[in-house]
Amino acid sequence: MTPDFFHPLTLGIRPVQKPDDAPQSTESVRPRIKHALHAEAQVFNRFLQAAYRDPSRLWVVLGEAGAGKSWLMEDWFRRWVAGSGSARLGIALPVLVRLRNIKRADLALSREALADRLWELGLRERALLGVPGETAYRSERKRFFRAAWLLDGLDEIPDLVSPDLFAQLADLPGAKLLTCRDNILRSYRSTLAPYQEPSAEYEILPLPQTQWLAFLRGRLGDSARAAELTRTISNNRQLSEIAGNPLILDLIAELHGDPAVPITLPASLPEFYRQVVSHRWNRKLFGNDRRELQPSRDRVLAALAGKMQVTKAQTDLSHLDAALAGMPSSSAKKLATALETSGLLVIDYGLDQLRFPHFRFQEYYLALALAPQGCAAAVMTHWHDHRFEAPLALLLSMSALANDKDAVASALIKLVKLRKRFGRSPLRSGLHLLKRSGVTSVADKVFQIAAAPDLLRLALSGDEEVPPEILAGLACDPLADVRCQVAANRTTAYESLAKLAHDADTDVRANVALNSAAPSEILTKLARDRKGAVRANVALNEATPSEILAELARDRRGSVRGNVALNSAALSEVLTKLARDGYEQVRANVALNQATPSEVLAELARDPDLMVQGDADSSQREKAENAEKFFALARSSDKYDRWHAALSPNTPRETLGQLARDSEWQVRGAVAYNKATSLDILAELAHDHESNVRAAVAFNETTASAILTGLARDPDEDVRASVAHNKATLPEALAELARTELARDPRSRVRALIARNEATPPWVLTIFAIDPQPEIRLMLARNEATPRDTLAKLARDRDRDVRLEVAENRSAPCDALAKLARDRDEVVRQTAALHEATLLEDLTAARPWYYEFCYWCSSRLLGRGNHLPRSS
Amino acid sequence: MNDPAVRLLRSLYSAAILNSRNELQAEEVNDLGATLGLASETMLTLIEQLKAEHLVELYWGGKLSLTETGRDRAAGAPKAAKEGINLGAGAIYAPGNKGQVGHGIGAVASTVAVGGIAVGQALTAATGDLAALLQALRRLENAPDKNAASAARELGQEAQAAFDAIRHQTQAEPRNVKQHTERLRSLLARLGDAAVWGERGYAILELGRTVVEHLEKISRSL
Repeated sequence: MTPDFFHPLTLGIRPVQKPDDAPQSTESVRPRIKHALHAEAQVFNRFLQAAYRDPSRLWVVLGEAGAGKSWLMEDWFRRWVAGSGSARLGIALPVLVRLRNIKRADLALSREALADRLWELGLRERALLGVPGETAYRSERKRFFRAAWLLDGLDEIPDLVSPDLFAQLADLPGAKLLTCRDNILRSYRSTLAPYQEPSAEYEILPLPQTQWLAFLRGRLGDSARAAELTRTISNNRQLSEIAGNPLILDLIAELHGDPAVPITLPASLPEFYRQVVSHRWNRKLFGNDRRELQPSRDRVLAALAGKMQVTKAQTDLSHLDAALAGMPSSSAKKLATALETSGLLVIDYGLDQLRFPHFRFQEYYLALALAPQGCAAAVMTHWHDHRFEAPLALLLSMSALANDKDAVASALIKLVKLRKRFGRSPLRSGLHLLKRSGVTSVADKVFQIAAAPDLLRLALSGDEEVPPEILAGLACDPLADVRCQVAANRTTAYESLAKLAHDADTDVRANVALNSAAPSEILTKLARDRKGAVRANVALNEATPSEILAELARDRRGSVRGNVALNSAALSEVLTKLARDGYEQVRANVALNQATPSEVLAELARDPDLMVQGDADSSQREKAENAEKFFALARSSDKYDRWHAALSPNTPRETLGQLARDSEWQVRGAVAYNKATSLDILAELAHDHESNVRAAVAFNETTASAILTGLARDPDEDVRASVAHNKATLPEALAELARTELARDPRSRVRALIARNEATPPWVLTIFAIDPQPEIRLMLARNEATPRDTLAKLARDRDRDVRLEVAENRSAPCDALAKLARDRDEVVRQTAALHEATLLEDLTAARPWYYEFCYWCSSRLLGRGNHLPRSS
Repeated sequence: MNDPAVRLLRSLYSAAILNSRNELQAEEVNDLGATLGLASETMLTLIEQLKAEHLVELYWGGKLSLTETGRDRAAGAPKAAKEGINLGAGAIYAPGNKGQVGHGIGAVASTVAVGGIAVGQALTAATGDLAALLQALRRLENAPDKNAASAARELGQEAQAAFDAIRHQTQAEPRNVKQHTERLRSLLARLGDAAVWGERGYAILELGRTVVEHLEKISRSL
């Protein structure tokens, strides 16, 4: 659905895991950066490289419906094949598989047979490639290549999701990447965790407002009209919130493709979908059919969506006949044809299946299907299922549009009074529904949340799904920690950020300065803040305009200039100037910046300061990307040259083979550490006489499990520690290692690493829970594979840092989090409050504040009152 | 099966023996193909053909192994009893227009057909063996053991020259082939101590000697 010209996707990666060397406890919950941003091309290249390493776990790309997941997969598929040259045996090639085409029986196949079956399914997509795909993508050429599986649409096979599915997909030969809607993945997270590649979960972020114009210009081909449409979207409260979604932006453009049509946008999402459907209908159909069939159209589509619910992305064609039943046969036939002609239904006659053109349309018609049972009944039935969030929000919005605000209010009241919670917070769900529906706009300016307990306000302030009105209220909160969270929240409205940019608390302003969604005028203002810490954060923010960075590069404080030097958005002339800064740390940062030009790096390599020299030297070598240069480095008489070549992922394999026989152990160790090193070389190095080299092999995640099992019996502790750290180590090998380490030395650091390893069998982890050493329990509390009951036990640990780790653990169960929210330590309490699995209800005081909140909310909706009664 | 497919099969067979394992990595197979002068697309077609005849088995990632039938066929065993030809163990086997015939390795007084077709078979076997030999020698050239590396370079140069001389069957000059055969024989005699070569030395020397025998037959028959 996304047009060809569009390519500015940004992928965010959430810091899901702390690096092992990160501080293990903090004294504040004040937020830092939430997403590390990655250009899409960077992630693509990373996955391309991973394809040659045969990783044993799944990569994940998330995004909401219409974010462009399928489009991204198709684009990667095309780009990869186009860039891979002529096909040859063993080359890494992408295989795009629509997961909706998988059958349950496929999951009973063996590893290689399942891969064969997926190859066959992938052949259906070769039409995307044209001629280049004809050589490689043939049935008889299965197994000829290293497959890089692009498994699109995990959310479309809910019936098949199970630990077995993930285990089988993770076991597929080659690299594999799953796409899934972000809200759906939440339900699968704990099941998926053991099979997921660490640090390889990316989220397609919404298009920033600054890119809307470029998108629309490309789509409409008319700059003036695109600019006018961008302005109109920005001023439309409901649509501007979701216009970062490429599908929505594309649909908006579709509605305004005709220059003769005046630019107007509906105020609500259901009305927008209705217009898009009408546009598609009217564009393709003419005459009487168009008018006569229209009433039946929505009824039939709603019936189909009601049948499919959210569990099916496609259904049998026979369901269309059932939905058409009752209509005269001639009209039924006409309507079926019209639905297909207009593109409102996609029919595959070969498979006897039909589907909506996009899941967003299915959600819209599902909301229509749910409407007859009423808001309250629909909300109460489906609120705990993440997949129903969008249809329910649309339903609430439809009810508000129909002036039935009572229904919205009573649905929410019923929801928050619920006792049965299914492990989810009814209050959080209600708030998320409110935000998505846009109905909160009626309560604008009057939300008073000051009566809620501190922890609840803190939890709401960090939640990106909370309605902006609530965030606006929290922006005035007396607690600085709450304001800090709002300042860092990417969904905080411009007005609130502008207000927080004037906050008396330095931390609050510093968080605004670091917010990647902060507009340039706010960042410009903060760049002149009296506090260096604030200016330093502006200097680090990649959204800061280049002219402001240039200004900050002249700041009197070295830390500010140092952060500009690290910012990849800094212009080369700024970096060139900073390369001559009097402060050596600034020059060292310039040397580390990937945007620094080569000639500046060459200059820094001659810097009088050794640290600067070293950094510049490393960066220079990293930039020497062609094989000849690495070949020359590998033959150099300087061992550090050879060491650099041995460490680089760009060094050709044959050269790594030569370096593996180097007389210097550091060089051999670097080869052993390199993920591009082939398995046979690693196998050779696993027998190296130097323990450091063996330790490097044991540390390398691409080392074969059998070799790791052997190294687990190594006499050297460093080697065993590396095995214990390696996520590719087999669970049974880790269990054996745990047993021998316990017998060897109860204080061995190897045990801490086993406790930290997600591949360690749960029964071993359970034993560590009673370990007398707090470091072991701390590592266990950090491990996301630790069984939930063990985490619950650790939530009562006598060591505060252990409890803090549990509060930060993504797998922490909500009952443990409830305990931690009442912890005697404030940071533990606050951290637990900010955990996304924490039930907001557990954060309230004895008096159920949220009942009052909701009562008040409903009163406002009904126009019966103004203020929330204060909690005692 | 066409001639390039037979050459490739033979080279795969010899390479597998040299590596002491039946499985060959995709890179090794591609390298053999490149040595035989086969384009990557041709290689894919040939492997497809070998796979269709159940002579090789493929694993995901492009790894490949010879099936029992593949090994028999490459080693020279008859395809089926009905062919009525019994070449004996170690014989070279290749199809011809007039049926499948072959020539025993080292069998000076062969009991089977000689002449144009038999020369073709010897050429096919020698080419496949030389490709595998060259690949093994290239690997040894970078060995930490300097004696083995130097011996590999020396033998590799001569093997390459012999390979170039017989690569294009129609252009093979009897005199050239004879010269290369002699040089190879004397080199093998000089470097014949398996201990110099390391763990794969015996297999390399054995293959080298087999190549010399093929070349002798070729030069005699041309």
